[in-house]
Amino acid sequence: MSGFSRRQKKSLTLAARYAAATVVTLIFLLPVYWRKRSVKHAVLRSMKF
Amino acid sequence: MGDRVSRYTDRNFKYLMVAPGILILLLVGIFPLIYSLVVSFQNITMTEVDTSFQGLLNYKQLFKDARLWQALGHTAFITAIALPLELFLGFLLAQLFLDRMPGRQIFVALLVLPTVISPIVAGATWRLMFDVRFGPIGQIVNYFAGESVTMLWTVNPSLVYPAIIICEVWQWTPFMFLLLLAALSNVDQSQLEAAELDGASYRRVLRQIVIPAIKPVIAIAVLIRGLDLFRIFDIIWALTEGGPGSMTETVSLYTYIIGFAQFDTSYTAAVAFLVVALLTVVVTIVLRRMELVK
Repeated sequence: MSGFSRRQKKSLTLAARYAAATVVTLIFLLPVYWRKRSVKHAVLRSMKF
Repeated sequence: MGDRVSRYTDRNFKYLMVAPGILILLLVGIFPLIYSLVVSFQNITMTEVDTSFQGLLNYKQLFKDARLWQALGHTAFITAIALPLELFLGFLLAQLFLDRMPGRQIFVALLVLPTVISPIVAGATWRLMFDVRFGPIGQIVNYFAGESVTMLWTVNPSLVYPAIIICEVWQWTPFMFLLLLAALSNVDQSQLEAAELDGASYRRVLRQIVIPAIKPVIAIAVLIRGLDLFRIFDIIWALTEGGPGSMTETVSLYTYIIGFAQFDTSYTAAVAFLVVALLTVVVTIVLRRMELVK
């Protein structure tokens, strides 16, 4: 990071934070999405609960 | 006479007004507790007419019940793994979202979604995720392994605990995150700036300023989640139903089984009282340790 200016460092940090936030949010939302998708495709019907 | 009555009413009017509330509180809160204590000394089984008192027999039986102590062990194991994980991941997430960034509120709102779902739905959701045929977890593992790997998450004894802990951590890390985010936002900025000017390292700032400042919130969060984890039921019921065998049977599951499958009502009440006693001891120790109650 030594070759970057202060402003560039700030932008890079923000970009990294956005990337991390997006990945974490997607990981947490995957099960919610999967349940919706499974119900939609009637996967539940073939499973025993 | 009339004057005396009205003076008496005036003086005690406040008590008369709160009396119904207190009465309802006592009826709703204390009566079931006392009633279940009485039941625990009886011999009610739902299958027999005999409801005679049998003293401490149920409590004696508790100490010989290997399945109960196993269930307590399972509960303690899940709590010991899931609680620090939730705290650690919640803290990391809180650090990530601590500084201002556009769209932060949207991320936070989306992240909180798992917490607002009912635990039984969360368990059913993760059962779908772990499903061998349709679940994405198996597909992701297959992709990285380069071959078809059969992972029976809810059946294989070495995978059931990771499955339960993953589901539990997924659902409750956002709760920890929210509490810690609120606590971290309230840390005195002037102290942090002073430490930065003095050239203190990130680790030192964390250890000597941030952690002591948010310690009461951490204590409350750990206490709330610890108690919740000790009562864990829904997620396990949806994922494994306590199986394979009784490998993931927790105290709540065991209590439910003896109460509503074996109909041993009095013994169930005794187990419930043992849990209440254990939790009271643990909570008192934790509160004293954390110096929340002096």
